[in-house]
Amino acid sequence: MHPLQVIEFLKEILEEQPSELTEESTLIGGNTSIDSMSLVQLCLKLEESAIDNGFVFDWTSEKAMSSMNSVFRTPRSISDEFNSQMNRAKLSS
Amino acid sequence: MIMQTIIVTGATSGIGLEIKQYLRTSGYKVISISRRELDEPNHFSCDISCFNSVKDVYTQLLKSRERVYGLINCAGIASMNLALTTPDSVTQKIIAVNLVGTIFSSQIFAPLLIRNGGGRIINFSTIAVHIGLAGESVYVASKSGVEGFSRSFANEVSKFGITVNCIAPGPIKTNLLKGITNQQIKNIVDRQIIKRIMSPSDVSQLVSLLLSASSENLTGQVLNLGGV
Repeated sequence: MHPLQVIEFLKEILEEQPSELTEESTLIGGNTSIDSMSLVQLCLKLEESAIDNGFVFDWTSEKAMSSMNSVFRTPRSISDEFNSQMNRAKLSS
Repeated sequence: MIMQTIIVTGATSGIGLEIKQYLRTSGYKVISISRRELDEPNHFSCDISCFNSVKDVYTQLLKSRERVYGLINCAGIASMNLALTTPDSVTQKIIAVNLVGTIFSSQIFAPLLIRNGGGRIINFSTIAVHIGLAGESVYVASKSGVEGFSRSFANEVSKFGITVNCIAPGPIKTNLLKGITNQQIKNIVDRQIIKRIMSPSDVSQLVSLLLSASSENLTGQVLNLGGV
């Protein structure tokens, strides 16, 4: 998944569009922070996209919850985590 | 009319079994979950106190694109003992199944209800929480936790159109009453406003009410069957 796809998901979810949303925009704790409801909706979209790609996206890990190293820090970090889980799933199958 | 799907945990015995049968005869599709293996459609064998075991069921439902309207957490165990004489393994087991199991089930299956556009979660407590029954301290502790979790979780998921409520029955004729004397049951029933032993169908009817559209504004509540 490309970070731009994550940004597309966010645009679909967010009622108030941030002025700028880039691959490195801070999603947690920054000016473009998303609320918890939007975060859950994003997770559901990632999960559905994962199913379409033949694996299960885990968004309940301790890493996901970490404020410092959260996979939800930026669209890029989300994309990286998604691709990492997809690759692990492919290797183990 | 679209058949709504309800997940029922602890669906092979006691109240869970009664509710499963009631819902099926009422036209719901029931996905039953219990530790026991069952050769019947829409049944999953799962240890509700094991996160990965519950997650496996969720993954299968997700892959089958199952739309779920309701989750009824009936899985529970009881051991009537003074806390002073309760073995640590029993304490751990009661908390694991009754409280942690309800939390795991709710947090893992709730996304299915969110995808459905809303729904109902019904958890089970006990009248013993309200009356602080002697000999049930650990059981009461687990169910108090369920009540607290339900109130907070109701706030967390209300934005998604999901209600979360607890049913807290008094004594019901199920296996959970094994080991309780008739006098003990009478002592509890005497503390209810309606002084009779409730039947499984009394519980099922309350479940039916909570699943109905009429209850869409009722959430975060503990409904003591029989009144306290």
